[in-house]
Amino acid sequence: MNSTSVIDSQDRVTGQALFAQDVPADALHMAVLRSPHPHADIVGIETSRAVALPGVHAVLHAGDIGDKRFGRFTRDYPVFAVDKVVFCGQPVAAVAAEDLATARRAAALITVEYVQRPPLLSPAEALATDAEPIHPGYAGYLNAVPVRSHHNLQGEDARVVGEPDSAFAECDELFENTFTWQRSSSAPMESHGALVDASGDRVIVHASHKEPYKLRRDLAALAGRPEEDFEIRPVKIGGDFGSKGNPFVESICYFLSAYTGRPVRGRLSFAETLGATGGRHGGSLTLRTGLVNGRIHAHQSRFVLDGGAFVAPKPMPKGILPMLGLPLGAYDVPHLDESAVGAYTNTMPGSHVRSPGEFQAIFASESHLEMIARERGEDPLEFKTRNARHAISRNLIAKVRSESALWRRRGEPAGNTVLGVGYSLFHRSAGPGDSTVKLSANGQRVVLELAVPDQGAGSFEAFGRLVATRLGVERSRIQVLGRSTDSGLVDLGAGASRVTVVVGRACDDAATKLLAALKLDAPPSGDTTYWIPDALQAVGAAEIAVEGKGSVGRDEVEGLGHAHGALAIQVAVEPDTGIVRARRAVLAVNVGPVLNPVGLRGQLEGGFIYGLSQTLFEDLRPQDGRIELDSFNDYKLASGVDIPELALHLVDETPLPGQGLAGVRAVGELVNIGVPAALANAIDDAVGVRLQTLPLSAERVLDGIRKRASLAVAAR
Amino acid sequence: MSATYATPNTVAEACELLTAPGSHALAGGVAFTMALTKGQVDPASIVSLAHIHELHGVKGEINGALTIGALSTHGQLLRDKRITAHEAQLGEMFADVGNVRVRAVGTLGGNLAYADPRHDPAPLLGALGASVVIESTTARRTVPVADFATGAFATVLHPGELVRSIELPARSAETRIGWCKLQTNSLDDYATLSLAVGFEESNRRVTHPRILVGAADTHVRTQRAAALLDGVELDAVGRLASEVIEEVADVLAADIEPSSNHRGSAAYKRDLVRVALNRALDRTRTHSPQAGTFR
Repeated sequence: MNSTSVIDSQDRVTGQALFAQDVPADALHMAVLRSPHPHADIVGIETSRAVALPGVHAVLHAGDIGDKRFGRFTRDYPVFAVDKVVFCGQPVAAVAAEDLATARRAAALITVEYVQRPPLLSPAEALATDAEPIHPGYAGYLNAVPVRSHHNLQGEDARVVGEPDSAFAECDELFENTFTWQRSSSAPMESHGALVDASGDRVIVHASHKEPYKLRRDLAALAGRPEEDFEIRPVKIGGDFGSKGNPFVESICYFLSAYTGRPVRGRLSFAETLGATGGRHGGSLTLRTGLVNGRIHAHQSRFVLDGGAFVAPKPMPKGILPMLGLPLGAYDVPHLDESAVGAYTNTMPGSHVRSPGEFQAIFASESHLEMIARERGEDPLEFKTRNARHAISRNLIAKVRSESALWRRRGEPAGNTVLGVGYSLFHRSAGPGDSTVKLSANGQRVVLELAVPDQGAGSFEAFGRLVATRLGVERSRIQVLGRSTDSGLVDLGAGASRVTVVVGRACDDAATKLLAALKLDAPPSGDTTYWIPDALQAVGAAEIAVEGKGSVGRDEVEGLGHAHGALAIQVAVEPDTGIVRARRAVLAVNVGPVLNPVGLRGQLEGGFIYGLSQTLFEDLRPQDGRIELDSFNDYKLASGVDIPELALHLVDETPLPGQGLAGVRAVGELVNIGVPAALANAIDDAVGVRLQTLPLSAERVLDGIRKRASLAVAAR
Repeated sequence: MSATYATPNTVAEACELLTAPGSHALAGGVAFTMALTKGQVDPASIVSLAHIHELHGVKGEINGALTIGALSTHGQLLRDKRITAHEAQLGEMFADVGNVRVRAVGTLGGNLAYADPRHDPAPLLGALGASVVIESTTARRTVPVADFATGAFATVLHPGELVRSIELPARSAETRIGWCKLQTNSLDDYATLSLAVGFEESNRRVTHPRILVGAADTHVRTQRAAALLDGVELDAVGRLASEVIEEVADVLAADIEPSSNHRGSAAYKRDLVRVALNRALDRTRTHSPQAGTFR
C-alpha cells in the first residue's frame, strides 16, 4: 500500500475520528414513539404519564409543533404524524430526557389511540381505481407534482425514441420477461444520529448527514428561521449508502432542543435504521425486446416502483427515480418506449440505496439479454458484443471473457456442488452538483478546505492527492479539512456518485488559481521539495488563499461520459439445498484517470461485495407492512467469509490531463449494479434455473431445480 | 437500566447472588449484550463470572472423559487438541460458531444457558452424550445436553443455579457421530438448519441412537425419528439402507417445527432436514474433517 493512502483512514481505524455521537455535550437524549400500524387515523394522544416521569424534559407531537414537513424535493414527510400514520415506524411523538433509558421508558408511556385503516401494501393495491388516497392533503404539499394520473402516484415518467410501435411490428423475434426485486436497506454501520443545540441564538448541529447545506435549509424551513441561524459542523460519517440525506433525526432533535433549551442527542437503533428510515424501492420491471436479423430493433420497459409512504427521500422533481434509459443503456437501440410509475404505499419510504435504480434495472436487462441469447442458441457474450453501443463495452466483454476462459462451468461437478459462470455489462453516470473549496498556502503547508462531508468513501484523500499533483508537492504537505456551513463555501452534498467529479473540478480550479496567484502556469518541474515559500516570497506574500468552484449541470451529465464495467462470476450451487456461493470473479472497468489507486480499489471491491450481499442475502421482508428484522445479527451483510477472489482489471486507462478533470468518472456505484445479473446468469449456467426475483435465495434456487426435474420427468 | 454489578470469586458466591430476583449471570457477554441492546433483558443485578477460576479450563479424566469449564471460549475449545482428538467434528463446529469476535469471547456455558435454538454446540454435544453440570448453593446435578434446553431461550436452570461445566463422556470405539450445518445466507450467519446424529455400533447394528436438530426448535421432538434407527442394520461400510434413512427423514420433517423467516420457509427447512440427515449419517462412517459443511 502506498504510504500516503493511509492519511485519510488513519483517524478512522485508530478510533480518533469524531462522529456525531462522539461530540461531547451536556445533552438530553431523544427517544421516538413510532406507529405500530401501517395505516391508521390518530384519534388521540395522551402524554401525561410520560411527562410525569422523573428526568423527562419534553414530550412533543404534532399537536405541539404543528404540521411540519420535510423532503428532498416534495415536502410530504411530517416530523410528527399529523392526524394519521401511513407506515409502520413513522414518528408520532418524541421525548427528551436526562438519559436514554428514561427517554425510552417515557416514550413507552405515551398512549396513542388509533383507528386502523386497511393498509395499501403494494403498488397494485395502491393504484387500484377505488383505492383510498394515502395522502388526502397531497395537493397542499410544497413542491407537489402538479398533475398526476392517480391520487396514489408519487410520480411517473415516460419517453419514446424513434417509432417503437411500428418498429415492434417489423421485428422477426420478440422476447418479454418480468423481473421483481426486494426491499433492502442502505445499512450503514453508523446508524442515523445527531446532536442539536438550539439553546443559544444560533443552532449548532452535528449530524451523520451527507448534505450539510441542504440540512441547514431543511432545518431553517422547519423552524421558520433564517438559514444563517444554523451552523452544520463537520463530523465523520460512518457510511451512508443512500439514506443519510434526510433529517430523520435532526428535525426531531431540533424541536426537542428548542423546546427544552438544552442540547439534544439522538441516535437511531439498528431496528429503527432498518425499519423506519428508508429502503431500496421494491418493484417490478417488464422488458420487451424485438430483434431484426439478430440485432436489437425495438425495446420497451415498464417500471412499477413501490415508493413507500413518503416521496421525501427522493430529490426528484418528478417524484420518481430516474429509471429511463437504464435498462439497455449500453446497447444500440433504435426504437425505445419506456415508462415508469412510482406509487405511494403504506410501507417504509423508498429511499436511495447504493444506486437507487441501476441495481434493479441492470439485474433485469442483463438477465433479459442473456435469456434472449440462450433462447436463440447464441453465446450471450456474442449477442451482447454485437449489440453494444460503445467500443469500450466490447473491450470490457473481451477482457472478462478471456480472463475467465478456463473456468469450469455449465454444471460441471465440484464436490457436492455444480459450477456455472455468468457475465454482466454495466455503466454508471455521475449526478450533477456544485461545490466550492478553499485552498491556501503558506511557508509550511497547503490547506484544502472542503464543504463536502466525508462519508467514508475516501474522497478527502483523493482530493488531497489531486491538489498535491497539481501543485507538485508531496501529499504530506497538504492538509485536508472539512468545514462547517459557516465557511462561506457551498456544496450539494455527497451522493449520486458526484463527489469526485464535482468537488474534483473545484479542487483543480483552486490549484490553478493558486498557481496563478503565485504568477506561475505550472509548478517547478522535476523537484518535489516544498517550493511554495520561494514563490510566496517572489510575489511578496506570507500566505495566499483562493476559492475553487466545481460544477456539473444537469444538461452536462451525459457529456461527462460513463464509467463502464463488465463482470464474470463463477458460482458453486448445491443441487440438494440450492445454496449458492460465489467462487471467483473478474471485474474489468473503464473509469478514466485514477486520482487515488487504493481508494479506487476500495470503492470497486466494496461495490462488488455490496452487490453480492444485496443479490444473495439482504431482504427486509416486510410482513403485513412491518419490518421485523431488528439488527445486523439477522439482517446479514456479506462478510469476509462470503467474498470470493476478485481480480480487477483497468481497461483503456487514461492519464490525468495536465489541467481540468476531463475523463474522470464516477466509481462509487459502478460495480454493485452489475452483480445480480452476473450471479443470476451464473446460476442458470450451473443448474439451468432462471431466477427473475431478487434476492437469489437458496430456497428459490432449489424450487427452480425441483421444477426442472419434475418437468423432465413429465416429458419422458 | 440501573443494575448492580458483582464479581464473585467462587461458584458458591455466584449462586448465592443469582438467587436474587432479576439477577443475570454474565459469562462472555455475547448474547447478553445483544439482549441488553435490544431491551430484551432489564437486569436488576449482573453477576460476572469472569473471576471464578474453577469455571475455566478443560480437564481430562483418566478414563478419557473431558470436563469443559463453563467459561471456556469457543476459540479455546477449537484449538484444544484434547477436544479435537475426542471428536474432530467438535473442532470444526467450534471453528464455525459466529465469527472470530464471537469465538474470542463467547463461552460454551453461556451459549448453552442462553439456549438460542440457532446455536451450533448443543446438537453435536447432545449427540456425543455430553451432560451439563449444574450447581446451586445447595446441590449439584447433571442434565444431558439433549434435555437441557426445554425450548427456545428456555432451560432447566432454576434461579440460583449456574452451569459449572460440560462433561463429555469417554469415547467408546463404537460411537459414531455425524454433524451437518447448513447456512443459506452469509457464512457468518446462524445455521438455517443443523443436525447431529450419534449412535453406538454393535454387531453391525445401531444402538442408542440420538438425533438433535439445531435452528428448528428444541431437540425433544426428534426422539420419534431417532427411535426408528434403533436396532437397524449397517452394511459392510457402515451405511444404513436408504429406505430407513428416508423413513427417518420423513418423521423428522414432520416432527420438527421450524419457523418461516428470511433464511427460508418452514417447508424449505423441512427439505433441509432431509439433506442434513443424509450428510450427517454419511459422516458417521468417517472421522475425516471434511464435507458436511459448505465451504
